[in-house]
Amino acid sequence: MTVLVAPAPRNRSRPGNRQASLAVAHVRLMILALVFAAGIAVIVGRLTLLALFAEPAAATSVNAMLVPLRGDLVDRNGAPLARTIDAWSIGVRPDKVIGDKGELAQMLAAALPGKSEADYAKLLSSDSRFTYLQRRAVPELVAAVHALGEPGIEFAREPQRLYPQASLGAHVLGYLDFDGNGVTGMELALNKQLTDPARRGQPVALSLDLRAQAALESELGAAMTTFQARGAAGVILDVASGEVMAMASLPTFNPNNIKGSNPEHFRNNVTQSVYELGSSFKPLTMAFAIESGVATSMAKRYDATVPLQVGGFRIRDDHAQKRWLNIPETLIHSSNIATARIADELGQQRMESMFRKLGFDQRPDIELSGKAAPLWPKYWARTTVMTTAYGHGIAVTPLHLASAYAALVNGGVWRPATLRRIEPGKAPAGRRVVSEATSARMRQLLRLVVTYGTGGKADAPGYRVGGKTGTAEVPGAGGYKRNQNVSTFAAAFPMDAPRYVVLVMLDSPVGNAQTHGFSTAGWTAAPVVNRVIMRTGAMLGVVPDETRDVNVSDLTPLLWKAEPKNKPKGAAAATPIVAPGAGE
Amino acid sequence: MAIKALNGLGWYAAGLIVAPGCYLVSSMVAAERTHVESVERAIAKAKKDIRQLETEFDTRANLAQLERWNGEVMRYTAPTPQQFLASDTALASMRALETEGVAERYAAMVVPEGVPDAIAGSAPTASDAVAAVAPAPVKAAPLKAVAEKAVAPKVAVVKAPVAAPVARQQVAAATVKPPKPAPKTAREQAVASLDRSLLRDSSFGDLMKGVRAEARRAR
Repeated sequence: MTVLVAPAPRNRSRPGNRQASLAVAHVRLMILALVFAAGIAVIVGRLTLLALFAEPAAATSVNAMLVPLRGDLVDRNGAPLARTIDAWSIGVRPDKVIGDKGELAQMLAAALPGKSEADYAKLLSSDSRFTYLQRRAVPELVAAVHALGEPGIEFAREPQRLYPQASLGAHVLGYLDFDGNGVTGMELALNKQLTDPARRGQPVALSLDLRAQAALESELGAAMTTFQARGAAGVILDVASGEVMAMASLPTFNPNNIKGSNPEHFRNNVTQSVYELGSSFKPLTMAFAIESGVATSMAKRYDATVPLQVGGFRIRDDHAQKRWLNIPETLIHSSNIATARIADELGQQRMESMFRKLGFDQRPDIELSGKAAPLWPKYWARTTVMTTAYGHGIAVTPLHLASAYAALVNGGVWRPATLRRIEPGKAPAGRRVVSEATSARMRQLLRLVVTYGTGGKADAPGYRVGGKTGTAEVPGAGGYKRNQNVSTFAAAFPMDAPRYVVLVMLDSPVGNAQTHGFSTAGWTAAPVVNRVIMRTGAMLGVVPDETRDVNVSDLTPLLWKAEPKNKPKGAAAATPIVAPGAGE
Repeated sequence: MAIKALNGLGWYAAGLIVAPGCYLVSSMVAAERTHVESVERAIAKAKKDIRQLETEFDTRANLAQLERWNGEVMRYTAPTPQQFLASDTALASMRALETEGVAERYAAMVVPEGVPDAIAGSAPTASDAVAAVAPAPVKAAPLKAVAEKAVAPKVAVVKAPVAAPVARQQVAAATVKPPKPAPKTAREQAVASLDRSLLRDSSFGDLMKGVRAEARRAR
């Protein structure tokens, strides 16, 4: 049986209303259709847009894989100095550890011997959310810790800064802090560029030459050991552009392992320490004298027969000649007395302004941070003028002196030192300090110091080295210490067309049997310069040639009883050539 | 009517054939694209690996290490001015080893020996240990040879006592001779095993691990 249910008659639309409700339905239908059409149009439009303009999403991500998180640092030839690599790190979340914590601490102490079991137990029971157990972990260690099977211990690959050359050039490169920001050195100076997403893909070239840097550091290290020096510093500077080819300061540190380094060693002696550099200032005084016309002729002689008494101050010579000395002889015998007399003639104004021209009143001009301010005399008394002439009473960084020497020999133009590579021909204009003629004269004089004077041990055969020794006593409590000195040798080579300045400084060297007990620069720093030049000269593009030299024939007649210390050839005629290492 | 129906079916059939074809083409294109992408990814990964390996190589062959090796084995020195020739004429007129002795001034230019590691800036490396350990097995070999050589004369001694002094001399000669090549081989071995040990306890073992894993996958 079927039951038919019909709506109540009053609900049924009456025939009169039917037309109206139909129209309403149509309108609603139309609206609905329009809504659908609009929706479809939006989707189709979007699809068209995507089809036409959107780029494949994967295209960028593949390239992004290759861009390091922090840009590379490379040397002038492209050898990597600092790179960012993916390294393993091991961390622990104490609240997620499920095993027995005491047992885990014991196992961790066995696997990671850095801390004791008690330390690990304390660490695991602390309520910190996450703690690093080891960063820069080696994979073997990761595998060993992983084998403990503890889910609370996490492993991750983290970008880490790696310095492939370890401690080489550490002071130039600097290091990063925990968050990956530069703390010192070029890492700090270039921090912005290295982290800029647009530029970090491109490695930044420094001015350093890695090979020269290695040679300089190894020779400095050897000298530091031989002479039991407290510290050492060295710099090789391109005279034409101011580029630093190598800069070393010892003792050094390993930027890969900052925590294990002695913070004392972070000091860069080339830019962050000031020294009274002694006689190596004398060529500067000579240049001022020649430039200003005080030294009218090279033959002009100065009285060095007796120590010079100025007020209560007495200036004496280390290698007293007890006679009148002309300009070349003053430098060759490194006479304080004659230099002081020249400075006295120059006067305070000219000395001061020349020192200022060389930038000795300001911090050294280089990208590094934490540069030391020179100790500039507060009051220029007559004695101050005299002592600064031979490098006492004024303290500058070794870099100051290197830049000054570069200006003296390169034709007289001072340029700021830089650690960024400069494209050939784009060197800064610099400022003129001395004239071309003075510079030419200085080259002769510096060469004479090496061939006839105190710098004989720096004469690298074939490289036409010129330079000046500087032995300054170390100021300590209650005056200068007689037994401690700062031995400097500032050199340039090749002297007929100077390319590089090499400066080596040893802090408090102790003389040994080889040096007959001398700790002066001629015996300690000069041999280092010699070896550094021999090892790096050819690499830096200077071809050694024993048949060439700067012409000093107009000066040699002025030297009294002088003989060249290293005879060019045939000094050891009888000995046959032995292949290196054949003696074993 | 039937034709009309057929007509519809025809359209349907045509759609049924063409649509998969179109889909096939587009899916093939997509597959090819993913393939290209994966190749690109592989290239990027390879480049990354190259970078890692380069870094590793540079680190292992860092200049301090090279200098150490040079000091121990190679003993190369900086070139002397005589080794640079200005022109062809100079080359033609060169008489090697006939110039006046300059060796004294240059041969001493070797790598620093006895520089404490603290100052050189690098901790004692595996090479120090290897040099001390490695020679032992190598030395054993020449000794054995000596023993074997010595046996024959001994037999001779039993047969003819008169020949004893000669035999002893032979033994002496045998014992004296071998050590000469021995240090060389020992040194070579030391250098070879040095690499192995360096590979073992380096901080770059993760790369080695990657290589091993890759090798396993390849198998």
